[in-house]
Amino acid sequence: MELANQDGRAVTRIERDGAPVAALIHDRALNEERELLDAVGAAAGIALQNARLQAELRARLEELRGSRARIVEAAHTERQRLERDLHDGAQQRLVATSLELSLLEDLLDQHSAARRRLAQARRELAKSLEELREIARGIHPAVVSAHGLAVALEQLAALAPVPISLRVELTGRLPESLEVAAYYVVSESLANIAKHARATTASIAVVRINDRVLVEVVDDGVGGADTERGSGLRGLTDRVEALNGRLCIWSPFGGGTRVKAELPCA
Amino acid sequence: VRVAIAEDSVLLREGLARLLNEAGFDVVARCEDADDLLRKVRSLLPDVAIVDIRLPPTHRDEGLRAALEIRARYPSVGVLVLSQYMELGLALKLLSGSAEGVGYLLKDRISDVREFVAAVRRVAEGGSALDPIIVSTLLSRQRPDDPIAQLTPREREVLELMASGSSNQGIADSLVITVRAVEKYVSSIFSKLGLPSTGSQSRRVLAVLLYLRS
Repeated sequence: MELANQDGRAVTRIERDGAPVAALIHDRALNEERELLDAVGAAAGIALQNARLQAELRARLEELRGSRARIVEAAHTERQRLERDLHDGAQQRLVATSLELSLLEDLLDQHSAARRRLAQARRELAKSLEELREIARGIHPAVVSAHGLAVALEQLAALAPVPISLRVELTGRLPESLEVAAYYVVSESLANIAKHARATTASIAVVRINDRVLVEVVDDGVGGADTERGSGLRGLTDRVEALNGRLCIWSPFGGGTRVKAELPCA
Repeated sequence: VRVAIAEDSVLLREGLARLLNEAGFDVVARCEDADDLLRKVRSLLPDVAIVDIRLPPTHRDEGLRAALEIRARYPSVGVLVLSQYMELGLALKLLSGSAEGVGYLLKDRISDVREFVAAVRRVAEGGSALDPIIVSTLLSRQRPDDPIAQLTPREREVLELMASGSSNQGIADSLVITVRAVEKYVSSIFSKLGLPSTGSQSRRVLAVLLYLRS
């Protein structure tokens, strides 16, 4: 207000919803031009409110991104724990039990009926182990956290439904959350190729360029992938965006499908 | 044959030791973690170390790192890695450069005592033992012009056994055919795949695996 008293200046308060949001300092002569002052005040008020809303929105977005990252991270930790429990618990016990049974079998060399039943029990155990292994592997790909992306992708490429060219250009390990996200981008893309693409070949590339990691899976199939409805792709977008990355999918009809994830990596 | 075991589950460690003792092996070390294993290997130089791929403290890659270190520093010690999961990438890492005195098997294989004991002996003697799952993963891999498709079913069976590390005698026993017949199949397989069939058995295994990988 002190400013107003110098050099013949005046002050007009700008209010929104009854609360002062700014002060307009102007030549005292303009006091006569109420309409002009009102118009300037209204415009300034709108601009200020816009700026405030935008800042608020940015803060919310940041918060949202943070909570999405935390949700993805929490799910990851939980799955890792479950896999670990299965691995160290049930799986180990079943292997040990199966071994115990076969040692027992050797003691029964003359009792053929008992031997047969033991052998049957061992086969059942072997099946349970196999099922358990598939479940545990589905819950969390332990190989990624333990041995890294390059090692894990060998298996995915070998089991793919079409011939794959695999290119991994990384030196050393990446942050675990990033490796897991990249792994899922590849495995989900390969699953889609198996289900829908009718492709004859595909390529996987994982390349680090400065502070970004690019993960790209390209096939030569029929294209036309439904990027809206697939829950798998939705889940991938969540994973990638939770890490501040971007997932893009090109899938023109008849033109193959290209899935590209770009992940920032400091 | 002198064996060191590194396995953090007591149940399995003791089970393994008992199984090997009964089969006439001399279990010279029972270790809970990788550091202990490396110490024992250095001081005792066993013929073979059986290593769980997931070992304390973090249960991540300690087992694999120990296995690779033993392979690099003590070439006379065979290394047989056991794992709940089979990963082609890990098999390739373990084999990198040589298939001599190395094995990678699914943990459940230990309950097929006869086969398992044979695998331990083979690795201790400088041969190899690769899990059938790894071999079938490699064989089923899709290829643009698949030369595997040119093999007869019998040749494919022989290839699978060969890639798992079986000797010609072993293959002959499994398929109930003569060693000479096996030799014929082997040379036919190598010529169909365009590979040289000479060299030691472990070279032969490695050649087949690297071929299947590409």
